[in-house]
Amino acid sequence: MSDQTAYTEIANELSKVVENGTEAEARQFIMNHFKELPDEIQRSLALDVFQEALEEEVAKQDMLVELRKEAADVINGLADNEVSE
Amino acid sequence: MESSFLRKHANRVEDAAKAKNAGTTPEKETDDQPTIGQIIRSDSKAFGQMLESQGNPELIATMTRYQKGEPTEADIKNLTANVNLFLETKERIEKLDSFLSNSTDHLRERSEKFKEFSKIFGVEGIDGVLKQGLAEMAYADPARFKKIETYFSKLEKSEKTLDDPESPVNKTLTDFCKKHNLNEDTLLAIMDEQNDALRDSKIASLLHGQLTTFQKFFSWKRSRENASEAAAISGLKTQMDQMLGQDELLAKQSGDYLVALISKNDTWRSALVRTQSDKQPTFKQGIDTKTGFDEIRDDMNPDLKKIGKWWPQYLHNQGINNFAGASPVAQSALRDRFKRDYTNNMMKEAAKKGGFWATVWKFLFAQKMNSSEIDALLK
Repeated sequence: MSDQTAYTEIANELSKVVENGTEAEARQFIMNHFKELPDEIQRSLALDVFQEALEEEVAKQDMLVELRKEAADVINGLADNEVSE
Repeated sequence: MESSFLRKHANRVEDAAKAKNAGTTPEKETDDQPTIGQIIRSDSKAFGQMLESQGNPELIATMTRYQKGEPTEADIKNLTANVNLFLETKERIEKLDSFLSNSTDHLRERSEKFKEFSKIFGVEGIDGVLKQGLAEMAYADPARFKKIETYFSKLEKSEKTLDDPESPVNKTLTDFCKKHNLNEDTLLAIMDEQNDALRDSKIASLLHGQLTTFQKFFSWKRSRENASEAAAISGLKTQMDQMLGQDELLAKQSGDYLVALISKNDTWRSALVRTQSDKQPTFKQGIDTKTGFDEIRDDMNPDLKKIGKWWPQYLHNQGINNFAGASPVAQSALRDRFKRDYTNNMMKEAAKKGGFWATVWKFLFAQKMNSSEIDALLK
């Protein structure tokens, strides 16, 4: 079987899952058949997942920095409050 | 602009260009900077992708003149500027590679999806795949590459902020923990507790030990949010009395503040997300909206009517007046190019936001474009 025929087959199967299944089912199908996808698509999907993980990490770090700032503000305010009491 | 075309003609072109330009402005050659010809020879694919990504038809004319050995002074200037851009991009890729090697382990710990992907390629394999992918992206999709660079730079900045022992915020938090004898191990155990009820009970138990401090802490916080400070302080005692009888409420609120006090400890950070699983953190910035799974279902099938209408127009725009008279190889190449262009065009509508599902869409759509039904229309 040629690469192209194999890609067409896997695409047909995946299409059915995407059209009729859930997102989780489609993702699982992709993971189960990942090595059967064209190299270019494998690389592209890996980059997509990497970028999403990177973006989430940046957002979590931003949030953590904000939370710590807020906590420090509260603590400093508490200290002022204690002094005024 | 085909990169293989560039490679094919590179040797001949450089010689011809030098000869032709003997009386005009020659391409500058220095010991430390490669010439246009050298770049075309050694990095033809990447250089071609970079030029193509600029979407400037004039560049095709420029390259054609260069390859014929007939570049104008403006052509040489233009290509030299692009060689410089190419070399700068190469340096940026190397810099990003060094960040990448340090960050993939960390990201694997932090993202289940990325961890899953790493397993498919293997730890070293995924690094290689990403390096190759990012290098291609730098030339073919510079805007996206810039975005990745920005994320790395943000990550580096926030890591520095969190790790800086001299930062006033970090000092305040460290002093607070010391002053109130907050045991990090106890806090860690609490934040790591996955059973909600047990976690709340542990928090409540800890807080009863630290009651005065924490109640003042919560009350002051509330006073800032809900009332004037004077009123809040006057009502402080009442609030404290009420809170004493409300362990559940106290535990819930304390969870929020303990979260805010979480240190730089990685396990705590993971616990942060887990403990708030019912209330996922609101990301104020940083995450781009991507094409979603539901979105790609709508436009998964090529529109045969549209293709039938576009094809003759495409041939006309390509200057092809007698497609049937072209050789089978030329016909096949033209069909392939049309399919690629049509798919890219449709992608701008169906999966324009990019991301995982956009890539899936592109794969599925491109495969559907290879059907005999479509081929029958392209004649």
